[in-house]
Amino acid sequence: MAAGIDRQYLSAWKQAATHAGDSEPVQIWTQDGTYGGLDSGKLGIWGTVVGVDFDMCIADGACIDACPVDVYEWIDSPGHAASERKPFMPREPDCIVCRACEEVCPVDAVLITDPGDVEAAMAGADAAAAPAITEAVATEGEASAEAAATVAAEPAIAAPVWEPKPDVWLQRMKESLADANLPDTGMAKAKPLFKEIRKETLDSLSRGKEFIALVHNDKCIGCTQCVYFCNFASIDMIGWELETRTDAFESKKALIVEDTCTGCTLCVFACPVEAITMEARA
Amino acid sequence: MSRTEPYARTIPHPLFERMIINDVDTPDEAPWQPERQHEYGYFPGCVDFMDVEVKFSHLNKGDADHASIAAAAIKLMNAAGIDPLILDMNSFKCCGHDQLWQGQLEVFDELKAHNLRRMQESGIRTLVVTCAEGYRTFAVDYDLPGQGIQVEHITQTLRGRGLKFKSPEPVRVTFHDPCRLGRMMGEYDAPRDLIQLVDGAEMVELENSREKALCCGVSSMMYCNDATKAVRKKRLDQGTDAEIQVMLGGCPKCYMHMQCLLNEERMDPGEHNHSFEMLDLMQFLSACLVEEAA
Amino acid sequence: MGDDTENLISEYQQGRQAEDAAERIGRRTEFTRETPRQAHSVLEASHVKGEPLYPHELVRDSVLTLYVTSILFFLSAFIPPPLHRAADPAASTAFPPPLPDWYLLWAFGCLKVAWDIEFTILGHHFFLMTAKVWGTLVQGMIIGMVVAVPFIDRALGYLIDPGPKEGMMDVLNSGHARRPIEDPVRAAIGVWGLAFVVMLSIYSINANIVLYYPAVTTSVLARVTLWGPLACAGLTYLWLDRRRAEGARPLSDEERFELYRDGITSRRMQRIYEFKLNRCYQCGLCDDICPVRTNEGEEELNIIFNTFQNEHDGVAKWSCITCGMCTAICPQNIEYVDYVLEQRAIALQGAAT
Repeated sequence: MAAGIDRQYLSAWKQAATHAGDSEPVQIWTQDGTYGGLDSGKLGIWGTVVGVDFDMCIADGACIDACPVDVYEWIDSPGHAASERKPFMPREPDCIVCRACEEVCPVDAVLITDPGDVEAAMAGADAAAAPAITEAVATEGEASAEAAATVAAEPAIAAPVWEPKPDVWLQRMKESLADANLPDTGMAKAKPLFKEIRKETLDSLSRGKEFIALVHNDKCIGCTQCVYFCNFASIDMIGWELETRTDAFESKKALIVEDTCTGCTLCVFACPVEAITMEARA
Repeated sequence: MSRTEPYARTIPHPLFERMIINDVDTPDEAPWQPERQHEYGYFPGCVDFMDVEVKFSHLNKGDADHASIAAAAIKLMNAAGIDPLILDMNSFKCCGHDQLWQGQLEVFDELKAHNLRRMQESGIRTLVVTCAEGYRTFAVDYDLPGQGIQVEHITQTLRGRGLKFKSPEPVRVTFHDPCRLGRMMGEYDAPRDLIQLVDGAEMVELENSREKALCCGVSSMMYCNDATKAVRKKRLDQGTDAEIQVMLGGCPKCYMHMQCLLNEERMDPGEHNHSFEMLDLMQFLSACLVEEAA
Repeated sequence: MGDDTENLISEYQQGRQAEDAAERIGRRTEFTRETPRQAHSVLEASHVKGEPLYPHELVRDSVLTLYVTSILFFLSAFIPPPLHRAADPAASTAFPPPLPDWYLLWAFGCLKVAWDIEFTILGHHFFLMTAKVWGTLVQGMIIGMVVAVPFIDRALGYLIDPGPKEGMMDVLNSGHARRPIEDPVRAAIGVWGLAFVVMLSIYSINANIVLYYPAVTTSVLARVTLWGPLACAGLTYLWLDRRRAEGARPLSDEERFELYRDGITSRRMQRIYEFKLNRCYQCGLCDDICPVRTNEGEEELNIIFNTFQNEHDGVAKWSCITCGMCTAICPQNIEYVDYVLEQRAIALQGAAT
């Protein structure tokens, strides 16, 4: 099996079927254009913007945990060789292209294509025209030289990502509390609040490739929260170079680097003083 | 463990802070009356509140279930003959430590006003907290002792209550002093006394302990970056040097941050060199508790 | 195309991208400096703030000079000269006897308490030293001891605890406690020395005292000089030891918390901790132990002192993890974390408007 999802699947693979999503149907792509259903053992790649190779997916759930906007949910695929459930993407249009799921996937089964680039990718222009920086982003953590090389070469197989430890005492603790009721009133209170706030905040923000985050220097307190929340901080999405000096304090200001900003709004969430807003690109 | 579904981290945690602010903005003015009079009140705090998203479940596979700290504390208090009133999130709100230390005084004041009113309504005489940050906040910033309610850290409560602990196997443990409990509140001995009670546990001190203890690196959920991870790693390295098997913390936040780094190291098997476990003191004691024949 | 060629090409492309990004950043921001991160040293001329000679210093010095001159005029005009009659060199003893300047009275006292050292053993009479000689020697020994204290202190500290291996922990673990309150023995010795010098000074003017207070005879004074400083030292030791046993800290916690609570509740934010920062004498211990600073690996930065001088930047304020190690080590017990808390509140209040 090839390591990682086929990066040219939008042009090289054939569209075989659709599956009903929350608002729009989700496309299913296979190599030969035939699709036999969820229990057939041969599932192909699901999704256009959020592409997941279900035949590789080992269902460790990392993408579901990582997604800030809840695009995924579990769907059962009985009898499949790799795993018996898959991360289905019913809320695909909600994707903010933050690429968090790409990074966390242990088997490289996820490929995010920017909605604006989908048509070009379908036309087969992906390998030729896509800027190198997009690929570099996708393989975050590798040496920069390798990043560009992955355009042509197959991405390396990810090492086993989880080394289990015995955790003897943790198990003992869990056994000792087996019949105790864990307090969860806070959780019960928090969960609905959470969903509500997240939905409100996301709905009020404009996001996507045609938008860019903007830092208001007069509000920025230089706390670096956004730098650590940006998925692309290692590649310099947010520069950290500025220095202003006033009478009272001097403070560094965040700077958004235009080229790599995907408009994912994660930094807006991160800012404690609401100094970052989303603006339309000029 | 009576929880069926693991909770996933769905939102970056500044939204968690925003949620507390939202909680502040929804006033809860209705009077509240506990079913009966309790001498002791136990404030589990945000341990389960933040499980919702701070669990980093894609990193630790759900191991860092902080609500187990609260459950362990309740179990130990019951074993010590204390029947605490659980001051949970149904009627209380977050203690506001993080907001205070982030400089958000308005939010803190609202939380304080609400919690103080609830404290008076609850009629307790002694407040017990498992969290070092909560201990400091209630004792100093709320000034509960000035209003007739004693504040105790759980280790101070359990000390000298005749509890019996026995470790299933000989184990080498150490205690990591939380900044808020040690340097800010001056309590170094109570947790150590408790560990001495455990039969079969050998207590060793790290290179820096007590006043000189290194911090876990993240206070008030402000930072988790390279610099603070280096602080954390240094602390864990000291544990490796002391050849311990279990590191015990007195604060759920310390437990959370240390556990987070330990779990992160598992993602990169070549790097990690910390072969011990991090546990909260309450969890450890709960695992070692000798049940009275009943 | 081989892998090497591809790597070369991609490396070149990456380099070009980095250059472009740097150029873009530089173009977009007028206030970018040549060196992105400057060293925060107090020795840097651009960071040292002070007052100019003209007009500030000049005016202040002129006023002070005129003030002193006017006092001199006042004294000479209204207080008659104390010399009643000319001194008589032929007189046997002046009474009351002439005295040295007040700051040398202790040395005079040393000479006065001294006596000739002579003793008789087995019928042989030994004369060891006259009072003048050893009274003078003692003065030299006292000054010599004061000079030697730091060396002895360090040597003893090293013998007791040679210190661990890592550089960071040196300050923490070697030597003794810095605050007097945490080291009652050394504090008691210091108090004994101060009290003894004062008592020597008083003893040296015994003739003048007897003139006005006949009850205070020389023998009484001698006893007080001998035992008084010892009593002071004992009381100091007992008091400090008791405080230490109680776990008290130099600044009472209640006082500190009240200040801090009032600052929060009254919302006035009077920058109370900035006054505390005034006590900093730049020992640099806080910088040695600060875990964040150690890991950032920056150049030398004296956290508390530079904070006092407004040298801190936003990063220092927001990257503090408020662990309190600097307060624990600070000889002046400066509450740096409370200061950070206050500054954060001020910054957020400013940002929210």
